[in-house]
Amino acid sequence: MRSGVLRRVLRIRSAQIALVILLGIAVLVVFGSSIAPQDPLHQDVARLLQGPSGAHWLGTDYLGRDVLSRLVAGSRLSVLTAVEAVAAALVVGALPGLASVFFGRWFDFIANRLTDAIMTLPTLVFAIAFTAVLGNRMTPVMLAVGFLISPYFFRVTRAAALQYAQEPYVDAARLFGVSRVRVVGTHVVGKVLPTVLVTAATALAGALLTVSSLTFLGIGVVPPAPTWGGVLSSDLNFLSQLPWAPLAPAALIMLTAGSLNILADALRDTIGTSGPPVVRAGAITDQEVDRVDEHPAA
Amino acid sequence: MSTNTPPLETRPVLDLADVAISVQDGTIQAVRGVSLQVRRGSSVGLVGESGSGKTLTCRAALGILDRGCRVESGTISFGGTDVSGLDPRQWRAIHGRRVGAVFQDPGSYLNPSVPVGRQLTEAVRAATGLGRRAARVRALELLTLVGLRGAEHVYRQIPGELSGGMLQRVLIAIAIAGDPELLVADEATTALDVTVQAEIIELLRRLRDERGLGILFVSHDLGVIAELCDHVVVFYAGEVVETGPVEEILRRPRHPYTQAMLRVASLGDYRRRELEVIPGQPPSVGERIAGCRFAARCAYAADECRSEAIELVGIGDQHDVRCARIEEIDLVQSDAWQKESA
Amino acid sequence: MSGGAQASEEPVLAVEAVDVYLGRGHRSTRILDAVSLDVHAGEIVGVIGETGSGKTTLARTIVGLVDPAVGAVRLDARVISGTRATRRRQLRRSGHVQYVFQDPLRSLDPDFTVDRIVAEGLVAQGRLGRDEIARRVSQALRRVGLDDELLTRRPAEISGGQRQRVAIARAIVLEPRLLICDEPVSALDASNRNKILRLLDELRTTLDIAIIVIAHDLSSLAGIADRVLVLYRGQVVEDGSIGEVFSRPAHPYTGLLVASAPNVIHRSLDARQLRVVSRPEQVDAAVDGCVFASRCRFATDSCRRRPPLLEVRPGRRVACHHHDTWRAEHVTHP
Repeated sequence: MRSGVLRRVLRIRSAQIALVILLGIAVLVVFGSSIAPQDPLHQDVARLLQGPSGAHWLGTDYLGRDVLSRLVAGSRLSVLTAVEAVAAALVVGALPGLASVFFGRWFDFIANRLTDAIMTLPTLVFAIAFTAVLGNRMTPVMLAVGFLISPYFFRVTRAAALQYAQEPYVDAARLFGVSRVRVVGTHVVGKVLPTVLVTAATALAGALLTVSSLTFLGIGVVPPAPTWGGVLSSDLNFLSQLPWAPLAPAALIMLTAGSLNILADALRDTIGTSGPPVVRAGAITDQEVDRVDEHPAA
Repeated sequence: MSTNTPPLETRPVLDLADVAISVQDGTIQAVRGVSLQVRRGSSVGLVGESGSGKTLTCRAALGILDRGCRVESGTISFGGTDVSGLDPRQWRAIHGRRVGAVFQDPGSYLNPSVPVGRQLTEAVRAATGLGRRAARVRALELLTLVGLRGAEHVYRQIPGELSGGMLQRVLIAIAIAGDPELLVADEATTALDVTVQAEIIELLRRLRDERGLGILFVSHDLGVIAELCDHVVVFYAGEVVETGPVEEILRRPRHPYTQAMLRVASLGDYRRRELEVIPGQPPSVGERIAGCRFAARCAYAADECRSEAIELVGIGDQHDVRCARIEEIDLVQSDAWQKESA
Repeated sequence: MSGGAQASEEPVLAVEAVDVYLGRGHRSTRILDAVSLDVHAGEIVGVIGETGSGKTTLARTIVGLVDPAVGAVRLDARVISGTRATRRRQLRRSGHVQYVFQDPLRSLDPDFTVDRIVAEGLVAQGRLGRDEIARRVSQALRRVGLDDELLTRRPAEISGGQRQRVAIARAIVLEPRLLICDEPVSALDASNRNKILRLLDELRTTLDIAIIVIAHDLSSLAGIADRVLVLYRGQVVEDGSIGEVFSRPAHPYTGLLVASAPNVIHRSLDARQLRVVSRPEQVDAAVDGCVFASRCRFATDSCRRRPPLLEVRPGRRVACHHHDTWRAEHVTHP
């Protein structure tokens, strides 16, 4: 990976803020249940649907549970499941994307037709159908989601890898007798990685919303385990009593997804400008004398 | 519009007086003290290695310096009017009407999906204000003028269907669409095949001679300059080191750098021989050097060359040299010409 | 003349009448048409061709990135074209044939440091230890005139001339028998061009290797090549010793090339008199005719037939029906 990319990303103000927010979320994910001020499962029937107070900063839900604690404790399940989905998509999408550059026409053809087919499936509906078959557990559902978003990874990785695999230095390496796997490993992967990271950050934001949607619908999570989407849905049910209640979980989901998107944008912009530096003014630019003519469809 | 016999104008079309250009937001002085003039019907060549400042000078003359680059001092004028302080909008009135330009990679200046004729017609309309139909007729004339056979056919083709040489001809047609007095060509033949390059040079020569077009031609290749230009300006490390009529410069170069350039240039002979090189590398752009900027690579350099800045001095008919030892190293004929006469 | 062709000796490289097609199915086009070429050890042969001449494809065929449909490429008498994957990898790892790509900026991985770039071939061979590789890398760099201080730089951090040297170092570190340089100097200015050409000239004697220099113009060969092969649209139109070919071109195309080359002195041929002014007859319509006929001032009816590549003198071949008459015509028509 280009060493300067991260440094340059960190120079962008919006990316700095996004990164701080994501670091905060990461802390919640790692230490979630231990730093929650109260037991997220503790029900207090005496205090149902209360507004914010000294004891309950974000109030309580319909079972008298502390909302803040539920959100903090729910971070892990919400975020990790989203990460699971993206990791699955990376394996199912990005790896074949890389491979299709070097495994010849047939592999490429089949992989492309398969992704076309997968892309026609509606994510949410398919995930719901999945729970009907595999039972209401989170991991298989998220693997299913990962599978469904894998075409994006496939496309992006394939396009980037194809571009870099045509570079003359890849030919040069092949002419040294370097094996295909090594050529891809040394000359292609590092250059494709930033692009894949951008996709992953965007996809993570998307997956987070999907997880929230699913848990909001009560899919994939067995109560009373707390999740962001779960909190949101329970709050929505009592909208008439506590109209402002969904704000906190919704804000948390939006903040995380938004930060990921901002970071992805910053990363993409940085990669876009990190090509080989322009030779100093007045330089004779290199000529491409007959490459274009002789390799029109290379 | 017919200018078969260009009016004898003494006032130059383009006049650069003591121009200095800075790059990187004024932190680096890349070009200093450049003066040159282009008259109608004449062609002036700027030659030098990459980074010598020839392209910066040419871009400054066109008012298209990149961000962070600025004309620090001196004046640039077109036909007597100072243009150094113009804003982009005012420049637009000059581009196309008074000056046209062509660059190295013609393909990148055209929209790949629009027929070249349509793009040329647009340029004609922008530059002349002609109506659609009249502009089209003019565009076809221009295509023929720049030597494209079957103008009607070429008119309908998109850039991808034309070769590099044909595209450069189309670009030249666009550049002269407004019948400008000056054409600036920056490495305009560099990426072309040799046979095509020769044709483009001939075309430029013809436009100069028949239409009285003034040409400012920038190239790293002294051979190309020799083919086209009647006046040469030799750049080295941001300065003009020698300028004069092409014959004079080729026959009797007086600056050691010009001599060195001639020694390494193509002689048009292909005998096996030890090739000449100029030892060392040029200083980096804007490097501060007391005295002559070429001294470090110069075989004739003496103490007097390294102490103070050297002035450009006139030594004959329009022939100026920036060399402290001009008197002593006089009469050193270029090796190339010695070889030829041998 | 040092290192000239020794006819008795076996050539290092022999390209034998290769036809190369690129593209698939109905889009397949013939890029090289019966091209032959010999190169001996210690010899520099220039291949000159303009856009679409097939010169890069010829290089790619020799190094085995493209397979010929007809004909063969031999290295030291052994066929190296069209081999199977295992043998091909074995050949490549031997490092006998090295290719210096056009445009070093793109053929050097921008993320790699110079030492890693130059070492890549040796690492792929897997025969040498780390220290020995480092030693050879630095030796190769010195051989091309670069300091060890460049070892940790990346391609973007060095000059164009230095990049070209790195590309050459990467090739010679493997002690090749044959070095193919594709447009090694087209991106350099005159002084740096001559420096690189001198380096190649030096390497052929110190390393006793055969060198092919591919170029689109004559100045990229001046002073170093022994022989030259002129390609036009995939066919050899002329070859011979460089002095002869360029002082007395036997093919009108070579004549046009010579006349068109910009130089600071004089010329014996005038490009304007070699160019087609108006096409007198549609000689170019003939599919199997001379490839140059449509641009040839001297084309006649007989040029509808393809002229054979004839050896007009020992070591001098030309494919033109009018090779012995067109110059006279050039002189008589003002």
